[in-house]
Amino acid sequence: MRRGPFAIALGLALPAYIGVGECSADDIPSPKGGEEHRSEHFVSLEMAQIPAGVHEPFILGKNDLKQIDIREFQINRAPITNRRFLEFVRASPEWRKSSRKRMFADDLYLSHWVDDLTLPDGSEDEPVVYVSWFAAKAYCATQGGRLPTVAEWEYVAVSDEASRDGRRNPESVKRLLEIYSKPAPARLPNVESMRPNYYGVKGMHGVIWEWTSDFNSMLVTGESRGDSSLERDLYCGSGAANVSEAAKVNYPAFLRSGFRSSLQGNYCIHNLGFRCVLD
Amino acid sequence: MRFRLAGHFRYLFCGVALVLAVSAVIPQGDSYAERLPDDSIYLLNSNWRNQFGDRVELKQFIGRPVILTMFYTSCAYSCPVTIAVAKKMKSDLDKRGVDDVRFVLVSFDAERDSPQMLRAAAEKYELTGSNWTLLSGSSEDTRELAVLLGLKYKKVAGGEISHSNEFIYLDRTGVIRARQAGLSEEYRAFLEAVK
Repeated sequence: MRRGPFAIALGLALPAYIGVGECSADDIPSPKGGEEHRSEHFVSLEMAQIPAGVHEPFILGKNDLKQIDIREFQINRAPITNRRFLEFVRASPEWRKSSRKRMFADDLYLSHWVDDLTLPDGSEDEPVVYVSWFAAKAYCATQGGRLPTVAEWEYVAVSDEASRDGRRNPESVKRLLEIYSKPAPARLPNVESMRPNYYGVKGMHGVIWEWTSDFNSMLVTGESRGDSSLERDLYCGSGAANVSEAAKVNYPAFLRSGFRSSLQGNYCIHNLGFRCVLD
Repeated sequence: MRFRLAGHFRYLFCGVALVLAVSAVIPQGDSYAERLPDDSIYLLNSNWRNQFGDRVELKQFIGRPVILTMFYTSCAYSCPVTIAVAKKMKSDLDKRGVDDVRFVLVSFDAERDSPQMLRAAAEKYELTGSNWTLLSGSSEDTRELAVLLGLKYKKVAGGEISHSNEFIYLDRTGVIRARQAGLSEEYRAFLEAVK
């Protein structure tokens, strides 16, 4: 499979440069109270309930959908941890480091683990990273779920602590930009220490990037060297992919979009993990 | 007793040798299937329907060279060009005496491209003969195959699908050996890889 230099640049350098680090409890204290209004979204310690609604995606090419209907779904309240992924790997030997197929996970698959069934000390509750899209998808399937779509993930991600859509709240936007500009931590935080958003969902920003089921729907080209006629030729109907006004206040979403467009399904990256959804 | 046993073994040995010799001379799909490389797309389990409504697994193409592309039947702009280029590739390969290449056109449009739609497209573009296979499957299998092949697509306004235009050459074991991006007819280097 192709792996352009740009992909490596985005996959490795960009997150380190813009920083996807953050967000331990010490950095930003969890809000006091406020749990009551979230109770309607509480399904279990694992899952949060996300109501149906309409998502306005941030990138609007000439022909892009301006609104996407979202059905009700449940989402993992935190990214999947090393501990949970180890349970999966125990039950699914084909997903052990030593038996994975290159087509479905590259050579960095679980490269932070000591061996097939041994985690690094103290990493149990850290988000699992170095997992491919295929591995993440297989994990979610064993839980009776699936990966979220880009639209579903972003629909949850635009909430701040107080509302379903924090994109119009200058304070929220400012804080998000701060989060995205912090240097990456040497060690990922435990998922329990992450701050919850309006739905009680933790760690959507700043800790890791996350896989989505249709990450390959980003036709911002990974190898973009300007808007050459060749580039336009490679993609049907995307010649005028412009960033909208709405997008300009959601710079982090723009970054995520660029990151997704640089991925291939078998990539395993040091700060790319996932969570699952249930219909 | 010892002699008779040896005799039986001799027949057995000759039989095995004969089978091995035949299978070495005529490679069977099964022999490729037994040792699929780690980066074969035929490791993927997915289910499809062709233009005749038959169930198809991609593994059926093991043992044959395949040129694969993704398209959708109601695509007005690039897909007719894609198909025209594919037909030109086919005719160039025929001239070279390479006539066992399968052209596999997989639909991005899981919702609308039924086998009937595929069949209508095959008739419209005169994709006749056993070299041409048009496939559609579930949304999930379609997404997974596109991810595996490194192709991108998304729904845009007006029921259109914005997508990568790319031809992919798979060798007899399903390993990607060459790619041809865009709609250009400058594909000589790509076709040279086909064998």
